[in-house]
Amino acid sequence: MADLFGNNNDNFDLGSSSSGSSADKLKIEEVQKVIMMEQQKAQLNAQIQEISEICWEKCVDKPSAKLGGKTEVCLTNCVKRFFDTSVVIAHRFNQLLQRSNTG
Amino acid sequence: MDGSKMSQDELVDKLKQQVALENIELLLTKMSRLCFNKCVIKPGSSLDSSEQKCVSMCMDRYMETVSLVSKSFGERLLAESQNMH
Repeated sequence: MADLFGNNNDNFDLGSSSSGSSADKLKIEEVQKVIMMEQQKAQLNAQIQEISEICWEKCVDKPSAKLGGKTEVCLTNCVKRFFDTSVVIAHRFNQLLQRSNTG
Repeated sequence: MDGSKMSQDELVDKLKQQVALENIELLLTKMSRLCFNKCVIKPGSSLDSSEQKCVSMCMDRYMETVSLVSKSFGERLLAESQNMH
């Protein structure tokens, strides 16, 4: 485990061990940008996978040769309503938070 | 200098590859779980042909589901971001 972390550090510590010129810094920033973008992509992907599972359980009964129009409508509605639900939850949570702060 | 640039590109490639591999692994695990639940109601002494057929179809339909969900999700995100501005 410790070895694993050591390896990671070696990988992400590019340049700081060498001269540390501005060109090196630029490159490190580039790599950090790529990592950040990959993290965002992974987060988005995780959300899509999560909603896919939720809506699959709601809309697909027995797998057949085609999804079918009805199921497709169910799936699109499911995604939209899931989104709406998260918004309502966030709002409600905010309300409760404010109430507990003032009260 | 050129060598360090190479290793940096390689690092980025490796990172992307690892992320892609992990995504595939997650997808496979999830599909196994979901399709097992849908298709293998009572596990018997073997996976019979109707169960195998069900699992294959289940996987195809799930992949379609993911692409449909990601399309609606993307549309919704876009609409939301346009509302903000």
